[in-house]
Amino acid sequence: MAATATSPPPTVAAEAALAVPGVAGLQPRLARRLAAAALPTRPETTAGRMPPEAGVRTDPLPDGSGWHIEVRCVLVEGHRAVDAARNVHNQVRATVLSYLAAHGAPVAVTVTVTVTRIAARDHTS
Amino acid sequence: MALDDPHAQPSEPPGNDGPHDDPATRDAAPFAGDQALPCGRLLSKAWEQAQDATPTTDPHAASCPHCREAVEGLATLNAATRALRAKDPPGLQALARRVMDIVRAEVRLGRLLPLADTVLDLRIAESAAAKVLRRAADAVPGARAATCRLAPEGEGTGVQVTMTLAAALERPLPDTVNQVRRSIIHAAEQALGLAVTTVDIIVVDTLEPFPPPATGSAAAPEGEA
Repeated sequence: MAATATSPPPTVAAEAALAVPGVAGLQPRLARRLAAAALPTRPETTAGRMPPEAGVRTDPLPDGSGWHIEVRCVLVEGHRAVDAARNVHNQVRATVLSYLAAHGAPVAVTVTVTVTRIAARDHTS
Repeated sequence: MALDDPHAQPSEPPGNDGPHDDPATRDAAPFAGDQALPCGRLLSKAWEQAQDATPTTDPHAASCPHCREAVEGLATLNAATRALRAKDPPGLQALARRVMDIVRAEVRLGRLLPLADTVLDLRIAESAAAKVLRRAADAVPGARAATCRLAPEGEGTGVQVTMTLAAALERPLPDTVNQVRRSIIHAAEQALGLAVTTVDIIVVDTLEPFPPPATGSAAAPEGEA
């Protein structure tokens, strides 16, 4: 409702997640990948060429009190998955809360982090 | 209607109800857009008769130039339509392939499992976790992981692991299996942060003893054991 009028841009959450040590990249969501595949101008579009924010999904909370953000990330081998995911969670939540507060919309923010892949050290994209 | 048809039967009176008097069309239900030929036959009926595999006994269909001309025109159109239908529009197959590749990749992620954090909503794809656990099993001498499935257990963060593997018979299987189990639990805790509750291991095959390491190598033959 009024509290959710200002939507946090996915780029804010994506940049916060990518800044966490051990995060190799964000995994684009299915809908974004399908949409990119259907583009006639870029038939060879791959996940690697998609912007990081394609791995972020933002939905209003069911009660309208704020936002739920889902981040799908690829980790670098050698980082404990639960620790890296926890860091992503905390970093994204803090960054989005700051953004919303700065834009006059201090609302609730929940975050789900999904590790979709653990990439070898020499293949981090 | 047969108004201008020199081949029209004299018994067919010119008039609006011409086609309805034709026995060939009397009980045919004309569909929207159907066309009456100059001879009075409906185009759909003429086409149906021409498509019929059994030889026609209708003298009109066999001799009428209007019917023949209409059927020939439709046959040409039919052939062209079939040819176009068989020809894939450019890029359509490639698009379907891309879409299916993406969907398959999404399916390959497997189910989402809870990571061992009881407060935050942190998850890992089954495929990502299984890859790490398979590698842990492969690190055990005389063991080679085949399949690895993971499933959440209950409402908490517990996860069940079921692995099939091939094992060498150089030492007792229970020893190998126990070592694989310990390796899986260790990797789940240390590399992933996954709260594994049970590890079911099924030995489905035996491993042949490894060949001597020097055979077939590009390295200089340094001596034989």
